[in-house]
Amino acid sequence: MSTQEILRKYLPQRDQMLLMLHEIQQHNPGNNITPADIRQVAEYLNTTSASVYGVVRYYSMFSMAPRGKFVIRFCKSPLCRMVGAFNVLKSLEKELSIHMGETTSDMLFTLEPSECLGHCDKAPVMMVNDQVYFHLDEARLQEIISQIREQELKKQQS
Amino acid sequence: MIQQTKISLRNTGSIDPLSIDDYIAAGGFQAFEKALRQDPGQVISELESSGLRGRGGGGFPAGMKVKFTDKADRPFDGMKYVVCNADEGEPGTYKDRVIMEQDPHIMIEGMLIAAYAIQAQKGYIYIRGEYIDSIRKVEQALKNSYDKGYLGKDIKGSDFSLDLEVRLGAGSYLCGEELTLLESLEGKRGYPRIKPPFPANEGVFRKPTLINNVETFALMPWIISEGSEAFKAMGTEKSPGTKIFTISGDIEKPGYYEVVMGTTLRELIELAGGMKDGADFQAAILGGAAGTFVNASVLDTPMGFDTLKEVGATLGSGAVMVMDPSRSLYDMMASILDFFAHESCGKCVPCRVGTTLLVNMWKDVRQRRNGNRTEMLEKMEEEAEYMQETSLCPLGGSPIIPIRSAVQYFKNEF
Ligand SMILES: Cc1cc2nc3c(=O)[nH]c(=O)nc-3n(C[C@H](O)[C@H](O)[C@H](O)COP(=O)(O)O)c2cc1C
Ligand code: SF4
Ligand code: FES
Repeated sequence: MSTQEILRKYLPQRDQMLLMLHEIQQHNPGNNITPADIRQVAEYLNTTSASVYGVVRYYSMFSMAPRGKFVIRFCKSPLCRMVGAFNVLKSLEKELSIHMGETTSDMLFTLEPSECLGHCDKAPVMMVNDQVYFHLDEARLQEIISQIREQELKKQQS
Repeated sequence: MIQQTKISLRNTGSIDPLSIDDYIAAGGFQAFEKALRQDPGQVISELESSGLRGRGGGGFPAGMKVKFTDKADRPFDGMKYVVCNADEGEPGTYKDRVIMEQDPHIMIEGMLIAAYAIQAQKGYIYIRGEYIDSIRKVEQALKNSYDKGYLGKDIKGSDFSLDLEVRLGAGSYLCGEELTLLESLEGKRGYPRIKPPFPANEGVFRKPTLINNVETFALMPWIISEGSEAFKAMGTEKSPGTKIFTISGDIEKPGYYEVVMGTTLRELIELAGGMKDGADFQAAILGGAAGTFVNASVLDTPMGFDTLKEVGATLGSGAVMVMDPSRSLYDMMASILDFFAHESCGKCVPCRVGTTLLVNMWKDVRQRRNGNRTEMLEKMEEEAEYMQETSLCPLGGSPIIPIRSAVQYFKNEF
């Protein structure tokens, strides 16, 4: 779906902007919002690009930089940290060979910090796109990551 | 051992969350239909006399807020709004998610009752963007409600009409603060508004708006169907009814538990299977990051808004994070201070600078730099108090809450 097609699904009202931005971002291959998208949103809502930039930059779920196909939101809030999230994070960084905030060179994964994801009873917790993963430890992480890698490899081959 | 008393969670686990027929078969919408047969004023007095207090953290009397919004003058276009705060971001809290994922219709019914009471025509459910499952379920439940004639025009043959829509957050804790939420709902950056005016007078689009938390709305159907007296018969004098606690950390069965207000921390821990591997209790943090550290002396204090306040603790959102003696209080405080530094929106200097300053001061306390620790802790309290006095919004006033309680209960441990 093009950005125009997405925009037309919404009324041209400012209070619909976050919904539009979420959907635009989801449809972009880079999981991001581009300057061209921002221009189109601004035009559609009859507002300035600057004010749309302001919104995109403010919210941590929006990104202008292209991101990997899988965006990992890693919880670093108090409860997850208490049960060892930072150790798990280290092994995740090692597994992906990137640091927090970076994207793998194959554009498969982006690793982002997140505050409490609301699953503290099953800490440590992370989300990979729409999916929530619980009770993380080194072994579980490797399993999750290699599963996604394999699944992507199969898709490429077929 | 105490048992759960399920009101807002009464259908969880026993019905299909996506089936409105299941919800109706379990008695759903009867409270709303009862309200619809009454005068709106009667509904307001029922909510008011129930003593229900907001479950989003502040504990403000819900009925009073309904009354204020009802009394507010209608603007030229006649609009009043109801907004459900489903931005749930307080660390350790996941009760609203449970309601939305397991029984989304109950929240909608609560919103219908409140909207009828103030004769609002339109409403929004503002859900945090990360809560994918909640978003999908609430959207489906809204669709179901329209299909069954519980939303839309002339609901169930009355002349009351209500439209509800979902709006999404996008990763900002501050947007859970009600006035900031309204800014975000309007499609703006999440910078707080100055209070007053309060939402009751100038809310979304500057129109009179009733904004409540998911759990607050989810309790309303029961209050209307069973009556305010029945509600007041539970809980403590100043905090009637039930509360969902989300308990995590070093306990056997972490999760969500709905119990009567006034339940003690000891009872709650017991209900959640006791301390993990029979360990000792060291500390709990009540109410999330903007919550309080307590030690074992609070284990037998009835948990209600006022009873906890009396001992320098908070109920907040009902988050309970339990620590056994192997856990470091230093680390815990460090992660809480990091949280505020990360979530400060930076609009005002005291909070932007202060939240980072506190992170660094805490490192000094820990490494015993810059003088003696008692003095350092006092200095931190001073800084955090200054932030509270000079910040634009309540986030800047939040760090003092955990700091003061940590000093009160654990001074000798640092
Ligand atoms: C920084 C901050 C974050 C907040 N986050 C939430 C939240 O996620 N959910 C919520 O219901 N209330 C939150 N609140 C409280 C709201 O401002 C407001 O009190 C609440 O929506 C009122 O509903 P209630 O009376 O039903 O509790 C927050 C407050 C502050 C200061
Ligand atoms: S107190 Fe903090 S969060 Fe609130 S407006 Fe000021 S900088 Fe932003
Ligand atoms: S602290 Fe990580 S999910 Fe709540």
